Amino acid sequence: MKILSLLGLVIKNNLVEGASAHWWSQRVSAFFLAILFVWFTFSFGNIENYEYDSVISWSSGILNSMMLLLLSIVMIYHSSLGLEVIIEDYIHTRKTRKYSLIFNRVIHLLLAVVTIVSIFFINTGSQ
Amino acid sequence: MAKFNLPVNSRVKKGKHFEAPKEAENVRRYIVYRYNPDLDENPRMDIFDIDMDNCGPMVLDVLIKIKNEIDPSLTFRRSCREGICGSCAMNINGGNSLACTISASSISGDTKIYPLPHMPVVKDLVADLTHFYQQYASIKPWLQSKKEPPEHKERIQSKEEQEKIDEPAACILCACCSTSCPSYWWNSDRYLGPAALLASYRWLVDSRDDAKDERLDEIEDSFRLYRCHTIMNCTNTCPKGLNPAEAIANTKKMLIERHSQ
Repeated sequence: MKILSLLGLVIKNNLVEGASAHWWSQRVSAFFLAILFVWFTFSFGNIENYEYDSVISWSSGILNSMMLLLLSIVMIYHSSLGLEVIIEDYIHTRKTRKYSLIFNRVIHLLLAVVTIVSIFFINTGSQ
Repeated sequence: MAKFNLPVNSRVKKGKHFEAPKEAENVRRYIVYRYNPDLDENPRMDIFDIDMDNCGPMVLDVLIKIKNEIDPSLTFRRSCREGICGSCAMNINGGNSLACTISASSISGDTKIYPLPHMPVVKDLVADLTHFYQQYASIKPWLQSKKEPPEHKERIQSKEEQEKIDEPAACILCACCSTSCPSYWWNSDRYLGPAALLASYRWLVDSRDDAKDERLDEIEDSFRLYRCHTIMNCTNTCPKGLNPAEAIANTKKMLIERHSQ
């Protein structure tokens, strides 16, 4: 698929519904994850030393903290979608599957909240 | 939950050993899965030492020799003997293929032969394909056109249009692909599997068919289509060299394109 038409589809992602939406969301989040990881590798790799203060200073810059937030959210979202597929694949008992899917979402939601709060605290310098 | 152990009555035991004639010089060992539902016994692996100087060149020839000369109770499907009918699909040394197209000399060491994996076994090497055929029927593998056929003429296609269906139409429904797919093993009750999805794709790209939307509606399901995780076993194993994984990927693209229109 040509890159432009792919991007066009990314923009129209919200129009993808039903069973295709899950599959498409996985692809789109993987696409952004790949880009964000390139940023992360270069940016994090350029820190002078990896002592506590240097890493905190790196992650409290406005651009870095925004990018880190984006990376974390996309990663958590992608992980949630992937685990959903694994649960559907291997858990065949209807009740167990239903509760496992709910548990998966709750855990990922908690993870997202903790990540957002942590990055906020780092950025504002709070302990 | 997925089951990782075989039930007690399905555990495979050691079977009989049929030795080759003493004067045989070129001997190969074949270890064949045996199961008879009429006997209250577990499946077993029988060992047949075959004199290859008095046997045809293909694995199917070996099975026919065993049936004709050693153990007439050995049960397997076969028909055309040239890779056209798909009847002799089985698992040979860990890979699904057609026994009639695998040369015995291409395998080094002992050859283990099992029925197609993860299917109910009718007897010995014969798997029950009822569900597989039902899945194939479910995709409505026939032309659905709203136009009247031209009088005394065929429905014309361009060469390019025909080329699109050349490959998917070459599927012989041997079930090698579907039964090699782990996703099909775990969820064959709901996932259509690569063979049925390849057949569906064959009609989706047919320029004469007018039911593309209905066909896409029918397979747009998190299990029927989206249990394919692009593992690629189907493409690796297809004895006809077809690419069901690509057909499934193209079907998914069609669905996304349809949503974005």
